[in-house]
Amino acid sequence: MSNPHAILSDIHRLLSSYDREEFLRASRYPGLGRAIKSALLALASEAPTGGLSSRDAVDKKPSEKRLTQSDQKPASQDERLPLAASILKSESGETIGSLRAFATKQGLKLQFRPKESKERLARRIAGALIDLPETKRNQALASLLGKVSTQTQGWIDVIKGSKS
Amino acid sequence: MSETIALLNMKGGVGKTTLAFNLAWYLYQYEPANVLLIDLDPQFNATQCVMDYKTFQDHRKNKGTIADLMIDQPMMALKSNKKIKKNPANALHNVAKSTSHRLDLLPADLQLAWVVKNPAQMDYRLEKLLEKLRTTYDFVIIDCAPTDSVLTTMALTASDYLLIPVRPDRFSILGFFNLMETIKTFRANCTDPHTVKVLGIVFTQVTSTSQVEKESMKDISTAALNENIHVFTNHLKYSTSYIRSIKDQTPIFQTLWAQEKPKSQVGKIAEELKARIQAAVTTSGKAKKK
Repeated sequence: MSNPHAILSDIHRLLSSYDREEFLRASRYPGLGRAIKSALLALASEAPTGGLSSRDAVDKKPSEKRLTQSDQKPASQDERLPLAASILKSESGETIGSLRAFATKQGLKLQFRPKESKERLARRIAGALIDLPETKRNQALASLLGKVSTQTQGWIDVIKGSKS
Repeated sequence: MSETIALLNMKGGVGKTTLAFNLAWYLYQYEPANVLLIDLDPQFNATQCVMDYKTFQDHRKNKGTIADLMIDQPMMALKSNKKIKKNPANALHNVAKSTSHRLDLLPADLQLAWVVKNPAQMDYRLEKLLEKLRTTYDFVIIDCAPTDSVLTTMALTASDYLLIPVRPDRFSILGFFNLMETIKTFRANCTDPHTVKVLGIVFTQVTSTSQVEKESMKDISTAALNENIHVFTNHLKYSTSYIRSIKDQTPIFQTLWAQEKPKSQVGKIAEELKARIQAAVTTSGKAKKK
C-alpha cells in the first residue's frame, strides 16, 4: 500500500472511531502545536457530530456499529441544545403541555415523564427531531419556525398599528 | 452614583443596539449592577430585543413608553399619562431581577418620531427625566437613534459619556467625522457646564478577513487619535451568533451555542469601558450633575 493510501486509511479509521466532540476536546489539550491543533479541528469538522464515542466503537460489533452510524445517528448534546433553545423560544415551548402537544402532533415517539422539566423535555424533543428522516424533520422544523415567526408578525402588527 | 453612557453613531447598522443590549445585560449580570437601558430610537429595536410583542402592547397601553414621557400633546397622550409623568419609573419594564440588582428598560415606540418632528424645548427633556430615575441605577445605557436630530441632542445633554460603535468600512470614516462635527457643535452651543466625555470608539462586526477592513480600521483609528479620541483595544467580531442571540432576545454570553470568543468580547469591552470611566473620573474629577 502506498503511503497516501495508508495515511487516508488511518484518517478514515480515526473518523469512524471518534466523534466531533472528542476531536474538539483533543484540540483543546494544553501544549499542542498550532498545526496539530488545526489538524484536530479539521478532523472535528469532518467527524460525525452525534457519532459513537471511542468506547462505543470498541464495544460494539461491526454490524451494530454500521447500523448505529448510518441509520440512527443519535443526536449529540451539541446538536440538540440550539434546537432545544429554539423550541423553548417558540409558542410550542411555552408550557410542558404545549411541548407535549407539539411532540404528539409531529408523531415523535417520546414517553412523557411526570415531573420532567420543560428544558429537559425540549432537549428530548430536539433529539427526536434530529433523528427523524429528513423530510419529516424538515416538516416539523417548518411548523416550529412558522410558530416562531408569529413573534415577528406580532411586531409587524404593532408597527403597522403605530403608523395608522 | 450613576454613570450615563450613550451609544451614539449617526450612521445606521453599526451595532449600537446589539452592543447596548449586551453591555446592559453584562453590567447587570457580572458587575453586578443596577442597570437601566433606555431606548431612544423611534425604530425601538432595543425594546424589541427584550420584550415580546404581547408584553410590549400591554406595557404601552398601561404604562406607556419614553414617547409618552416626552409628548405633551393631549391627543397623543395615554389615559394614564399624568400618572406616568408624575413618576416616570412607572413606565419602566423589568427585564431581569436578582435579590439585590435589576435590569430595567425604558421602552420606546414609533411615536418617539413625534419628538423629532416637534423638537421645540426638547433638548433637556431626557436629562430632566433621568434626574428622577438615575439615582436607582449604577449604569444608564442609552441606545441612540442613527440621526442627527433633537434625539441626539437629548442624548448628549443627558449623558456623562459617549461610546461610539464603528463598523470598519469607508462610510464609517465619513460618519465618524459627521459625528465629531455634531459633538463639537453641541459643545460650542451647550449652555450647561456639563460636558459629555467621549470614552472612545469600539469597532464592531470585525471580520478580520480582508485587507480593506484592516486599512479602514487603521484610517478610523488615525482619525480618532487625531481628535484625541481613544480607540478601544477590544472589538466585537462579526459572528452570526449575534444575529441569533438578538432573535432569541438573549445576550450572547448567555447563549448555549455561541463560541467562547464572541461570548467573551462583550465582557472585555465592558471592562475596558469601566476602566475608561474610572480614568476619566480620576483625571478630571467628576464635574457632572447628579
